[in-house]
Amino acid sequence: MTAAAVADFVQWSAILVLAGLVLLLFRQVGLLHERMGPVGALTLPGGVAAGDTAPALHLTDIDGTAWQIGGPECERRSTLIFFLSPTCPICKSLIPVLKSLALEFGGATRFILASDGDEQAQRRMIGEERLQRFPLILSAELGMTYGVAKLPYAVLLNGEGVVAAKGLVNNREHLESLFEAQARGVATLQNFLQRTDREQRSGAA
Amino acid sequence: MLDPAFSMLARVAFAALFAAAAVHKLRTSQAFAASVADYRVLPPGAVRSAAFAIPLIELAAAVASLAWQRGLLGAAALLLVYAAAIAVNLIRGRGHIDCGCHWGSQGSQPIEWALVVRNGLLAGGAAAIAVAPRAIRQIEAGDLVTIVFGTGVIAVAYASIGQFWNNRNMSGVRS
Repeated sequence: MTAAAVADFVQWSAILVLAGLVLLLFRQVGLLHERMGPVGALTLPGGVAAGDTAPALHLTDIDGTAWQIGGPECERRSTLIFFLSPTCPICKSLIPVLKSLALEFGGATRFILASDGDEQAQRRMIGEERLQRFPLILSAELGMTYGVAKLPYAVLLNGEGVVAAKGLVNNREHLESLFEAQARGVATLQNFLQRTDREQRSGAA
Repeated sequence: MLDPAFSMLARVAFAALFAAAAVHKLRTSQAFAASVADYRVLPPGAVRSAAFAIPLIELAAAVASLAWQRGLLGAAALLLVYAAAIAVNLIRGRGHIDCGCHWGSQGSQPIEWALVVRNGLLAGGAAAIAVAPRAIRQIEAGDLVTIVFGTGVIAVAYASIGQFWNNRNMSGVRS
């Protein structure tokens, strides 16, 4: 082999190793991102617990329409309350998911956005994210009732006004898991884990 | 005039891309069929057979690229079809659907305009190489080193870009 051929070979090898290292670095970054978010809607303590009846709140959205949140709904529809804020980037990343869930479940479920604070910023968000078809309720009382401490947070009420599921929602899976929870009659992730654990044990016995 | 080593490198790289894509789709055929259905560009009855046929077409494109320089036109056409399907859904406002391209390591990847641009650029490159006049020169041992290592570096770099994309979507920067 000539010197040039050897150099060629060595350089290609070095480039390949470096490219591999870049790939490993990106994978590691990806792994970190994954570990940052909890899996499944995480239910934080406080507020009306899953399985309990939510108190009926009479609230008005920013367009002046009156809504009753909690308590039996007159048409027995479920209600999804999505708590968001204009300054929360994860909330924005979930808006497409919310829209697609609204298409899927919109017949049997009322979709309501909840927030509080600066009304101008909220209206700007509605315009930018094209959320006009969802009612937006600004109320601190609503957030306190369900113990919302972190955003984005979602609460799913069934037609009787009972909290079917609620929790912190960081991604598509979390938000969809609320509907899954309602369909299966399992209020929380913790509850689900306990139940499968019991089933396994009774199966083994 | 295009050097034969360069055009061969491009052909092997495109063939590897499509072969890898086809194998992945065949291995996760259920998920891929769901993605095809989500695109809503085919009548529901045709989804199942399309989900089966697409990986086979990709394999054919890979073989054609390897066999003939003009075979790259098949790869270019396929990329443009994907770009069109993505663009149609973005225009419809269905930007949340899974791309079905799995060019990151795991999970789903929502479609976006950048993917249309990426496919357009790749298709343009493939087509340009396919029709370029070729310099007459015998491929020798030194060229094989270029082709093998070059393909390896391209593949790893491609996977890195995919992973980077995935990370960016996960961190919620996309708005």
